[in-house]
Amino acid sequence: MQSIISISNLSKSFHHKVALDQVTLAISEGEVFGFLGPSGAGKTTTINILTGQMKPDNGTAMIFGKNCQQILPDDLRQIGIMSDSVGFYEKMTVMDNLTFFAKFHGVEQAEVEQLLKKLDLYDARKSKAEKLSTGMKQRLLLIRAILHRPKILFLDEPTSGLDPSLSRKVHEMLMGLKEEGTTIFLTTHDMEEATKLCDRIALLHKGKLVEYGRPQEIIQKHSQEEMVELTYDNGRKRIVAKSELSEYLSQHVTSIHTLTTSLEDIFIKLTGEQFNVK
Amino acid sequence: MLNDFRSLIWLRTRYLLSAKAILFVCVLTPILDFYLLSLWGEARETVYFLNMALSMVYSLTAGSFVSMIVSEEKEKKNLKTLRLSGVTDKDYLLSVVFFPIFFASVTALFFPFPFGTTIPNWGTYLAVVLTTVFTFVFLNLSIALLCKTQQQTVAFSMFFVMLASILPAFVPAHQIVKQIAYHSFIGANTDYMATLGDYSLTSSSFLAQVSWLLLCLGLSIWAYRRAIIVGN
Repeated sequence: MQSIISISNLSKSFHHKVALDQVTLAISEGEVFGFLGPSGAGKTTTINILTGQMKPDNGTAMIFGKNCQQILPDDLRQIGIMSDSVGFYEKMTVMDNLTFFAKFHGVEQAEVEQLLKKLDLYDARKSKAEKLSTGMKQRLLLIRAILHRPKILFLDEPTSGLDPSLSRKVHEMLMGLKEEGTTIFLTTHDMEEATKLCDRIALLHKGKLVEYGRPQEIIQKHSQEEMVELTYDNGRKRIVAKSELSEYLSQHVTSIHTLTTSLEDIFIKLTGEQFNVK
Repeated sequence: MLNDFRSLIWLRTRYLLSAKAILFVCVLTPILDFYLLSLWGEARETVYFLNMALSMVYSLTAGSFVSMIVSEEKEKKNLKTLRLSGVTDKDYLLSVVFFPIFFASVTALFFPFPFGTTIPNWGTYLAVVLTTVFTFVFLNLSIALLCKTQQQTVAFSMFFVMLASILPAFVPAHQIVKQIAYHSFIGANTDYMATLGDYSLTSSSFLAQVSWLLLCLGLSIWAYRRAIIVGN
């Protein structure tokens, strides 16, 4: 499949602090790509470069086959962004905030109302945006980013601040957009979300890509030896390799659980650091 | 393209209706204050009175109006949001100056009637008023785009409000002050109010005013490009 986003040897520093270090990756059309990393890993810098808001020090970033430094307003109309760079008119109502973008992109008002209902914001449509809770503001930004059905969607932590039921609704909505062919570039600290939603992921640490590929393949690659956890009748637990299981089995073992390696374990293994929340 | 601009004007209208304080301070205050003053003051019908009222319109209705909108838009990241949605630089700049120019021009052209001031040459008056309004709009737009915070914008904007108020008042004081005032960003208006029917659009004060306008327009475009870069 054709790459809709490609980054080659991308580097960026701020006052000698490296934000991106020779990052290379390609994202195919219609793919959900997860960009994972702790705070300061370089995720937002990447989005800023890809949307033409920032110049890289070295390397190239291409979007729609065009250098990101040369993207035009017409290209930006095909992009939806929910990140630190965007805001809303706080004194205006939720509906007015969205109606402007609907008018601007030629989207029917009925579609805006449908999205508001889908994300449980319809009852707050007449409220001023400044009165919304953090989770509601998050949903307002999400609706704004997707209402014109963009070809590429940049989402920076789309479900942070949302309860599990709303997160599920957002996930369903994103999967719907993927089915319609939208390419989604997602940054998240939620490894479960990344494993569930993303076709491929990149683990970023201090501006460097430490792992890149399909989540299940990455997990498999780093769990060559499967581990099991044994629980004894006195409550004691022991973790052993599956190949050595027979040596530890006895009548005192009450349960055996296979331990699966998570992306978080892999990140810790690769970087030696905890994957802290952004 | 027309649809984009129409949508932006719709946005500005909704914004102003939701932030009525801006309309009150920048548009209604100069009109009400000077209209009430004109009802009983002996200054009525004098050019000096019209000059004072116009200085207020240039500073508040044209200048502070645009700087208040843009500085808030910049601080709340709405400027970047619009730009990232595909709003062109031209449409953004035109939409943001639309209402300040409209209200300031209409008010400035309307003032001579309730004040009973005789304008000897409306064509010249129109040219002077519009050039000055545009200069103030772009000067304040530049300030708002270059300042980091809303407070900074208010402080710098206030500096120019003060200058616009005191410069014309000091014209009779000294020849050098007069020359500075006539070639300042409010120079054409100051000179026009002093000479009225004798004022010519070929005078050095009008040429200086046009230069100020072009300088402020250029500065606005440069400041806009700078403001949309992350980190500024």
